[in-house]
Amino acid sequence: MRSSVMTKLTPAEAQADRVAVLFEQYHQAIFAYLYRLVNDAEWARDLTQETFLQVHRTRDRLEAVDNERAWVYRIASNLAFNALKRRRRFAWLPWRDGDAQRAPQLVGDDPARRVAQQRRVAEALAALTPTYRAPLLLYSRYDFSVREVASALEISEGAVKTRLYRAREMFRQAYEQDE
Amino acid sequence: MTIHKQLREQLATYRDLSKAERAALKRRLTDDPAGAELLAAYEAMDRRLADLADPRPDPALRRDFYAALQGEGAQGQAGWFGRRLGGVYAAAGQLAAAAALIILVVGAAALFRQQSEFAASGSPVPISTGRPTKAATGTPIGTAAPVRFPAATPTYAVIVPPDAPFAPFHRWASQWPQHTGMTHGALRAGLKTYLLDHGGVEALLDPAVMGELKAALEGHLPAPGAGLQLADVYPGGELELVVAVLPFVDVVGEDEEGVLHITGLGNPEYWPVENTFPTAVQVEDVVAFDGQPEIQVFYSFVDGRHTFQEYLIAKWDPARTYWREVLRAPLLGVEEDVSYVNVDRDRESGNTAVSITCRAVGPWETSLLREDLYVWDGDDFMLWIIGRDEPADQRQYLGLAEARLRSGQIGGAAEMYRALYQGEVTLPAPNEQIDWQVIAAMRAGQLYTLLDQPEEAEAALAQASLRGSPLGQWAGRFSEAYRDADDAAAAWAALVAMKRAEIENDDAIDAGNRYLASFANDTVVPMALAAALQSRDVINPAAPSDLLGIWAEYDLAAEVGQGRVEDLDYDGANEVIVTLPTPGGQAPVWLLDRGEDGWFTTLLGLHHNVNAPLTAPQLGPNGDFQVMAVGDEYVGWNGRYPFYYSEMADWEGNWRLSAQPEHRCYLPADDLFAVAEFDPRDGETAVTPNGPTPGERTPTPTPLSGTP
Repeated sequence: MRSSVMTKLTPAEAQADRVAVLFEQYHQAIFAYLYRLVNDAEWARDLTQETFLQVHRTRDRLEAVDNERAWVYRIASNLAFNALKRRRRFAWLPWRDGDAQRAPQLVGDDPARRVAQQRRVAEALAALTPTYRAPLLLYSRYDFSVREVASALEISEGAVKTRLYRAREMFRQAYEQDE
Repeated sequence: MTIHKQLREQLATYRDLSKAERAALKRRLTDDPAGAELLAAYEAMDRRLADLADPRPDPALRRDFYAALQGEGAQGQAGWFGRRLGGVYAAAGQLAAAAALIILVVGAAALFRQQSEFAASGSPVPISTGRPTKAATGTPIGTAAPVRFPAATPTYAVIVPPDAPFAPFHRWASQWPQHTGMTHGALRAGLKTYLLDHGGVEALLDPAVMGELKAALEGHLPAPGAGLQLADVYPGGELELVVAVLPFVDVVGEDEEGVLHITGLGNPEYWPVENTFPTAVQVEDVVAFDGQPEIQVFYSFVDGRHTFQEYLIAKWDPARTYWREVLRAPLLGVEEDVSYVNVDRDRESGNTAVSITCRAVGPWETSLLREDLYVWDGDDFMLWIIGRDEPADQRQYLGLAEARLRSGQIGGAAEMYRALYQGEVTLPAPNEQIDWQVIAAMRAGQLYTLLDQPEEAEAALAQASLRGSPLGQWAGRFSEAYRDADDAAAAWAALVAMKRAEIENDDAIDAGNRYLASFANDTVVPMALAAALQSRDVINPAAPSDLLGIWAEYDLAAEVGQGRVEDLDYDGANEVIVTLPTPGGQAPVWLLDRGEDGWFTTLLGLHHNVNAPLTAPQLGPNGDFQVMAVGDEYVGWNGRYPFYYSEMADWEGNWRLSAQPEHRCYLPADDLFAVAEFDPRDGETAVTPNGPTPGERTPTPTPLSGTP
């Protein structure tokens, strides 16, 4: 989202401008992605902020990045995985839908049925470990290609395909368990 | 019907297929109803996921982000950011005064920066042998109650245990005392008679009388003159006699054990500690400064392989009318000349901190010094800080890697093994005969198969097989089995078959890898079982029968003696506990759990024998988790490591209330324990314990919604 104020930017300002553009473009999606990974709104919020702070700190690499979206998701994924590793299991908390603001529902939909369906999907997703949840989210929810998923998660394309297959099977199993 | 791997991957990533590939797939699926069904399922899955409503962050995130950018001090850009903020909000249609927007959320940013720094710090902090000096940092743990120190800045007095008679000393098993022929009953009766004859316990205040008693007990006390003390240990203003006596039999023997008698002409309390040898006893008001002395005991014991020392503080609980262990900490794991206990007390607040150094013995027979800090929070000692030596050689480094693996950090462990065999970690080899590089490469390869990283696995196994040793040959065959079956569990099962045939044949193993062979025996079967659960995408097993079928498919079922499926840590997902009988007649008990990196396994202990039943778990202390009887102990599980309880027979026979978890001096994986620097004199810092504390401070976990 560019400022309507036209000024000549210095190279440093241009970089910073690019950071802001990336923030405006992706921060909501990154928040949603992180929320699905760590299952906590406040944590996701902190990680989102840190993601873009990292983007800012490494902005001098922006020129060389060929896929900015994958790059931002890579930073977010690494932060989330590192944070999850430090999480203590005995502090497990139930996943709370109500922590984050809800997106508006589709007009004309049956709200109760849709909520129930969404909950089932979300619970099935939560049954996956982050290792498998991340590629499934990126591929199926956020429309990443296999190559982009590999770039975001810093694994080979072969590993992406294998994990996607496993993730889909685990998701299916968890989803069908609720039937 | 089994679907071929290539087709599976095509179906899983159908959206990435080119036009020609899709057409080919479509043609193929006309003759493949299973494949067609799978594709339909995946398409439906993607529609559902696409339809999933995304949660939105609160609007303040944008404001805070830009403010944090300003806080990062982009030099020369403050003006730009000011303009940008104005531009952004103007573009968003929101009005905001520029001055009001410049809110430096320093606290949150600083906190996060600390967390980032902590995350970046991958290597352990060397043990501090002095007192901690900095304010606490680190990530709060769950909902554990924070410990707040008083606002006053207390003066700490370092209490050093007196040299005699309290200084603990180490005894080798061969030096343990001979059978004295005295029974517990005889000693107690003799003491009572003696005290009655002399007019009561107060008579011992006369040094001559005390000296006479000590002489009479010569040979039964830990050291000449040691093990006798007068104190008002039961509140009431009357003196009692605390006596520590040697075990009545040799440690390698039998049924009578060393006891601590507390006799005060009232109700005697004692607790037997098996296979022990009390080396020092001190009665002192160590915690809380409530005028109630606690009993500190150092004692040694053996578990068949190592000699340990432990430090115990027991506190009389008038509400429950028995002695409660408030601290029981391991000191030494192997032969060592020094044990280190430092007790810091704040007389004003009553807070006590006990720092203890012990030698942790972990996988690969690794031992590293570990430092623990226990802090009294008014009711219990909380395990606060753990520091650990840096590994000095490759074996210690690999021991840490294996400790990570046993706590479920498969990725972290693989990374450590990879770093060693690829030369990123340069440490000396402690034993030139053992090829640590091939061990590391083999292990890395094995773990990458569990992580679904075939390229990395192949690379590591290829490196191992280049070495030409027998282990290298096993790596090559493991790699072949993995490639042929395209299934990690099949490769692991092949390794089990190799183990059966070859590893037990010493002639097939050169001296350099004999060490690994015994290790491979220990772990290859449970890891194969875990790999099978991983390969079959088992999420939450319901019954052992489900699993036996899976293991039978991999020809592993015969390895399992007994099995149970239980949710020991009440996290809503079941763990699997199995005995794996050995040809030598032992029954090691392994636990399998599913962590973030997949199924992993850890050793719980040794069961009595192959025929002893693996009984159902019991409720642990406080009811927050379950414990299983393994051998003579009760073992709990917190998702990362096991913790142990010994059954304690107290006055009421109610061991559950009196039992304390034993913080064994095992080797912790790096991020199991956050090293926090701690200054108890900082009265304004709200700090929380860093180490997982089983049972006492954990909230009752809420089961996963939808999980049976």
